[in-house]
Amino acid sequence: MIFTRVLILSFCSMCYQLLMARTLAELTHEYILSYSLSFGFFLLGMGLGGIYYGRSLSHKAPLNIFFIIEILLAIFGGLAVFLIFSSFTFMNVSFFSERHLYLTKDVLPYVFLLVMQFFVFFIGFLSGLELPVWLKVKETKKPTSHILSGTGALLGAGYVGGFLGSVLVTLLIVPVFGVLKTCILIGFINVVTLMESLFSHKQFTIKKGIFLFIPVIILYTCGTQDKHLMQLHLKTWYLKAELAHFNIKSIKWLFKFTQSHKNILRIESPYQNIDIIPKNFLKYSIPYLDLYGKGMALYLNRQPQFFSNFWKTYHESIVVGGPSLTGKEPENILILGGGDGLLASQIIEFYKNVNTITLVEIDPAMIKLATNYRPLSQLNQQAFKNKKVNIIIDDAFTYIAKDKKKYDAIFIDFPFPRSFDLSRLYSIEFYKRVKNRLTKNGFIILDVPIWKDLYNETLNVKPMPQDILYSTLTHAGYKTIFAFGKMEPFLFLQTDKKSISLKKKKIKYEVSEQTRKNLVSIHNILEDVEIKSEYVNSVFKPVRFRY
Amino acid sequence: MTRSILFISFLLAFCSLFYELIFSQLISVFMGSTILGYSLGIGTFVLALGIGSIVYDTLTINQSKNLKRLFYIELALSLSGLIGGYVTIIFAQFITSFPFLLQSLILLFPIVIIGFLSGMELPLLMGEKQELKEKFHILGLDCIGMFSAAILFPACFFLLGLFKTSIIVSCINLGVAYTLLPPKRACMIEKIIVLSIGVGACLLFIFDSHLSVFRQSLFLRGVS
Repeated sequence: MIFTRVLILSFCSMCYQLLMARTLAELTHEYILSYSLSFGFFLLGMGLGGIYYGRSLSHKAPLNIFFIIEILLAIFGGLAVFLIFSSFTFMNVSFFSERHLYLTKDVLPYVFLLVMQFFVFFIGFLSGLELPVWLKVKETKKPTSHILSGTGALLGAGYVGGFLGSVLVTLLIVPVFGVLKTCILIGFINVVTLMESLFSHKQFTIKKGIFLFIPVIILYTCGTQDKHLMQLHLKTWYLKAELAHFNIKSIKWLFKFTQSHKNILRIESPYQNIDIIPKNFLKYSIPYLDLYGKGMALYLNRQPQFFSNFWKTYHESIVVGGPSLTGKEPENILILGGGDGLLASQIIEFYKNVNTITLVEIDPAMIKLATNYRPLSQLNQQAFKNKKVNIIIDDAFTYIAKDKKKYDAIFIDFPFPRSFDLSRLYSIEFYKRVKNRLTKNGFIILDVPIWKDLYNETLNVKPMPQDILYSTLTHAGYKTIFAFGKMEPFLFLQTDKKSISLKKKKIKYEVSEQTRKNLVSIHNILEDVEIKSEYVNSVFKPVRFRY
Repeated sequence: MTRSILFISFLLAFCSLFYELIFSQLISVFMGSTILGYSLGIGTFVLALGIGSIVYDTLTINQSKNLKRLFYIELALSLSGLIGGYVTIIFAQFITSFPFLLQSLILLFPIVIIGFLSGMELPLLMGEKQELKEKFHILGLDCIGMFSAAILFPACFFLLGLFKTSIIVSCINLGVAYTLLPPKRACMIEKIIVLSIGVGACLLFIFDSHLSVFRQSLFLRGVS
């Protein structure tokens, strides 16, 4: 029985650690840093916990100590994600404005990450106390001949529990319940284990029973509030809401303000968080382009993917740009990313001779959304039900290595490389692989992060995204790189050297006036692009995109 | 001896966790998600650590050869750190059409080996000491070692890249292995092996930029 208990306890601890690391990673966009820091601090906590038990607690009754540990662990572990979300939201509404000189938008996530490590350490410390308790209990019991009762087996149970935690939480529990509910659920498992061990060791008293209610009530209350917290977090983030003063009145105002807006739909898949922002939501937070804010919007990991009032310009440009430059319409097309189906719908609309469209998307949740969620399937005109569209659910990075077909045009529509997962889709290895899937006169169009501050040169820190892109693409063997799109920049790539230009009269498609304005060369702002081998972005040695 | 054992346990834990993070990062590349790579990597590492320590527990026969055993474990660890990355890249090319679970099982294999070997380290070192208090000290430094690795890994990864980092860690590990050997003329063969691996590692480090071309061609194998 001790064996099972230790297994379950270490399952819970591993779950807390992974959930905290994951939440921190998603909030700060620093995946590698969050995971390795949290793992380090958790281990440190566990180790020191074990030592502390050996030094100061080993003479006390183990089950009494276990009782206190579990009550604390159930409350703070179960609420770990809840507390991280709340403190991040609190930080957002109170610190984001420019009045705080030293804590700017760039530094704040790191400060947050570091401060939260104390919390991770604390949970690790509590978890570290658990195993010695059971070792002690086992020691005091009479020796049995049962095979599963040795010290080694007890340690083994702990390790197996940790492994199960990592697999089950990542692949099964979080996709179903979401991070907030999963964490609270694990807290309940801790409570149940505590209850079971009290009963089986005949240590259950009324007083302890009453204490047991504390974590149950707290966890239950927070469990019912998880949707509200998530909405509060998302709404304050997207609305860029801020507290004017630290008093009850402005906090009340904040709650009222967020409640007056429609709810944001969030889907948590193992690959990304998909947020769908309802109409009229962003009109305050993106004031300089009220065009964006009035429609609905789709964000991936809190980065914009499309705005329903602007997607036409974006997708018309990416689709019309290629044939306008080459003078020939492609027949076989590969789309990498673009699970929203909008790009596919525009290709069907504009290219009359199109033969096949192969679309590779990593996230099945995104495809499901684009087919079944009405506001989106109306926008993409049920493109995925078209016979010419062939959907493949796979990682674009590995798919293009397996695929043997060649394509006349490849459209690459990934979110911008804020994380390492995305950065590898902008790497030299990726571009080399894509190159081999092109027919002789085929072309690639990339949606890329290009920007330049024309008014404040000091903001243009080297390497700029365009330096990294141009260096990586040149080293990958692309001879023609043409940049176009005044509002939405794209890169047009071909493998052999050609001199091309984008002239207004070459655009033979019926597109909106805005698209026509967008379809111009932007080489004037790319004059100072530097191509250096140290700027080449590789999966083995990534270069950070800063923008 | 006490101090050096403490220092060794710090360094060994440092190297082990570093390997784990390096390979987690590497499999994230092939799995398509850092969350998946790291979560499964950490879980597997912990499991393998456990199996290693249990296997060691059941196999304890001759206590006198402990240091020699530890030496071989360290040698195996630093070798797997040096070549594990290349092996993973090669294997990853063959398994792209496998179902996801099988694919991740194969990709996680280097972590299993490293975890298994590292799992034997701690009981071996603790076996050197009799007193409970000293055992706790070893445990504590083990934790601090892992902690330092976790803090340093992100910086090393972005500054040096995955492969240069793994070479440096392997060299530290090799150094530790060397100190485990008895002084003066004993164990000459082992010493020569360690030194030649060390020279090899230095060469790998110096010619890393050339090797990166080689890695990419390995990586793009079959694409032509």
